[in-house]
Amino acid sequence: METDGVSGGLEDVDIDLSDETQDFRFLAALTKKGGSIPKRGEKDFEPDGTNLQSNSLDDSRNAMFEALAVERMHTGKNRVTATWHPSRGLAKVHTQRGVLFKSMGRADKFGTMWLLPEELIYMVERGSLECFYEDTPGVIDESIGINVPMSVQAVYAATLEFTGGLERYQVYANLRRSGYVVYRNPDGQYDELFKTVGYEYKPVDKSNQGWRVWGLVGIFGSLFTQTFQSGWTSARQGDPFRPMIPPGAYRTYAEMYTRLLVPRPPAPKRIEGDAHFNVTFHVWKPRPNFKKSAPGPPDFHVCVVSTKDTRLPSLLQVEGLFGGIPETEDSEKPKNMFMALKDGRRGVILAVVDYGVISFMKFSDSRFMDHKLDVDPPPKGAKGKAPARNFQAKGGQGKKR
Amino acid sequence: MAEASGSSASAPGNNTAPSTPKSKRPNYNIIHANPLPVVLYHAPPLIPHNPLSIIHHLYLFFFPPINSHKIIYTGMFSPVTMSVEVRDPKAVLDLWQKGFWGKGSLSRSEPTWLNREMRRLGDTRVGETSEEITRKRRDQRKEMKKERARKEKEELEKVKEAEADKNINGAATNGKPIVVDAKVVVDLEEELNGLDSAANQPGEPHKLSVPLGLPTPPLSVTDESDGLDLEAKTSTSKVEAGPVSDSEPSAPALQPAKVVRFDANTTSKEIPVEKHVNVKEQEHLQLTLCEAFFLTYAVGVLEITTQGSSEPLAVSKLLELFIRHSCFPPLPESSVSISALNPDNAFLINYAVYHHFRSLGWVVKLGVKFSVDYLLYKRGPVFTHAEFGVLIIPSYSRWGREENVGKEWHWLHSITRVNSQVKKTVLLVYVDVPTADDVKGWDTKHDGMKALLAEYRIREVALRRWIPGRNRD
Repeated sequence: METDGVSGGLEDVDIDLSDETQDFRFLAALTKKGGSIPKRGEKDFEPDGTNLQSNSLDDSRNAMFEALAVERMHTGKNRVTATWHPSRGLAKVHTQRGVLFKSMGRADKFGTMWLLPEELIYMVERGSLECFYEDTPGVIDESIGINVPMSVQAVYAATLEFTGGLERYQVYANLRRSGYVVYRNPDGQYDELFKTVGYEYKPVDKSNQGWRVWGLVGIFGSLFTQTFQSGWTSARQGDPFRPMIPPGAYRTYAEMYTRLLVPRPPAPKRIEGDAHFNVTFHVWKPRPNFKKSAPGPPDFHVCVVSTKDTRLPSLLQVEGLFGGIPETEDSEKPKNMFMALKDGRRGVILAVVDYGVISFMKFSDSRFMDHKLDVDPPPKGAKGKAPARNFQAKGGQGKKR
Repeated sequence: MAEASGSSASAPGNNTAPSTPKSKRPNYNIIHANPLPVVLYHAPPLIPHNPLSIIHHLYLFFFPPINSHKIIYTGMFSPVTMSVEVRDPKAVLDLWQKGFWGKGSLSRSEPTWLNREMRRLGDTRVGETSEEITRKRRDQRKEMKKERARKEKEELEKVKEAEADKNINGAATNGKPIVVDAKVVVDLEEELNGLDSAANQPGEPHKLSVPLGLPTPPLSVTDESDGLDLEAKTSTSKVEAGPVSDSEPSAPALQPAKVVRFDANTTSKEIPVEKHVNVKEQEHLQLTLCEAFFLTYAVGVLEITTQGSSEPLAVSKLLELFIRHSCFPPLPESSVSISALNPDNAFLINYAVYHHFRSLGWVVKLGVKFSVDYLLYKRGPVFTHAEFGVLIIPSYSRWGREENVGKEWHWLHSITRVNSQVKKTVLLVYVDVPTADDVKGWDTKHDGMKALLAEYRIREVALRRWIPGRNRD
């Protein structure tokens, strides 16, 4: 029961529709003429012996088969072809058609469109593109006169190593299918074309200078206070357990809490690259006016890790992850304190892939030090009286002892 | 761990206790106005035209009265329960009301055993306790589930009847095997019956609330000579005391409703008079080691003794004691010394985190119930639910130890799952543990303890599940 009007943690954001079992009858609406999307019913997890249930199950199953059996056709007008260039690790698009290229691939200065291997697999897999082997002189049979087309399997086999691992492709495809625009983190790309981007993605280095200045002040400050204090309070020198709230006269509790604070020196900045924990993808929310050339700062930073070779990140790994992400400005601060703590100034989405099952978790850089709670009681005027709830204080029991 | 005391107070439904007036939600803003068991100083009003008042104020300005620590409470360290016990009723009340320290040894959080016991014995002065309200709510929920299952069953029967009719009508054409259907029906009925009978045993869940394996005092007072003393203002004194004290001693709170009903029945025939029961307090407040150390060292309102001595321990000795008892079996006395401290100690790491959040104004309670180390309450458990569950992750980057030895992902997944069910955010709190060299000589420095705590660098990382389908805007 929230008494302060504070919103709870579990919003509809946390409810994943894909967790629920799919009812494929809604596909019937697409494959047949007419029909309406059925409502979500109660849980059907065991046969209850009614024909009603078995019939609806059959309907759903049939609808799925029907949907799968529909013949998919490609018109020659929309045919897109590409050639896979293993030497470059990119696929060259011959003719670009269709809406997908608005958010995929990158054109070089000659206007040729190049696709990353994950983009290639994704497009081949969904049937939007036909890929061919590279035309190697002398190998191709002149009598045929055309290149050899690649099967989906062949595309996987040839290009998967360039994606950085199956897990990365799985996350890429998952996010793409959900509608997001996904590009690789430009850092450490093997091809020049994908190293340069039209937006700022690295943290501005002003924070670093801030640290240094702060650090100097801090060192001098601590030196000063140490010498000052040790001279001043020679009588009490060497008392390591001086109470933090010594007896005295305090007007507010906030005053006492300030004394309770333990000032911690800023941690030394250690940004070490980690083999597993680094930002893999930059992700943008789907928006109609997205421009590849000027996408603006990404909405999310995604780090893909596999349960095979990683565990919960260590402090160094987390620091390294956050170190590569710019902080949001103060003006974007959420209103609610809890939301500010939960979102932090920056966050990374970890896509943990457990043999094909992806779970996304947002790691946010919370700063509890920036949000001190109000400790003093709310101003007078609260109605009601303190009832006698505990009898040990005033009941007959007190007399007895 | 103290959810119920906060949420239950406003729960409706007071129909089973007609003898007591409808329990109003107490004003927690007044009861828990002080976040620390320390007194504030309020200057007397200044009267400008009175020179005496001005002089008095000047005097107070230069020589303020030192009255913040009016009471120093006493606790005793218990090595068996690894906690500090506070037995003085005034201290127990104060420590709970001013900062929610500790928990009752016989209660879920707030020490309410005495009130519950008095109520069980029919004392008319005590209002409904939070535990009763919780139990009532759980019973209601159980009833609701039973009702839902019954309705589902009815619905199913209806569908089956309709289908059976259809089958009989079109039996010649439709060869549906009715026998199979009937078998399923029988199975289902049996299952539902089993469900009903299971739900009809109210005693089962309550038995779990009896703490096991801890050296706690006897739960119920059955010995009438010293503990139970029925002041019979009601006309039937001994007759009534019989059945009340006859209720099994092993399960004191098993059937409170029954007892209350009994009393109500007998008294309703007579004049409804006040009834006073004297019960001896058998409960004490248990402070965790972190809470006790915070109250002793940081706030300075607690003195802690050990068994068999009345002399309070010095803070340095206390630290040694707590460090030794941070694990089980406790470390040998010779292995722990203040001057050559090993910073990689569970008590020190836990305390650094505890102190960190307490000093920022959070009320920190243990979070075993939700598989986390701590729960963070804003203001306190009676005001709000805990917003964060803290997982302490020690980091040994300064020790040059191998990285990537953390917990497995499935461990984290299960914890985030549990916590999202109870609407809490999991907070990974990384503690960068200093090495022994980093903290060398801290015990000779002025405010050395503070410097020691500062060496434990703390970084909070909030964890939330991120769902692609819900973040597109």
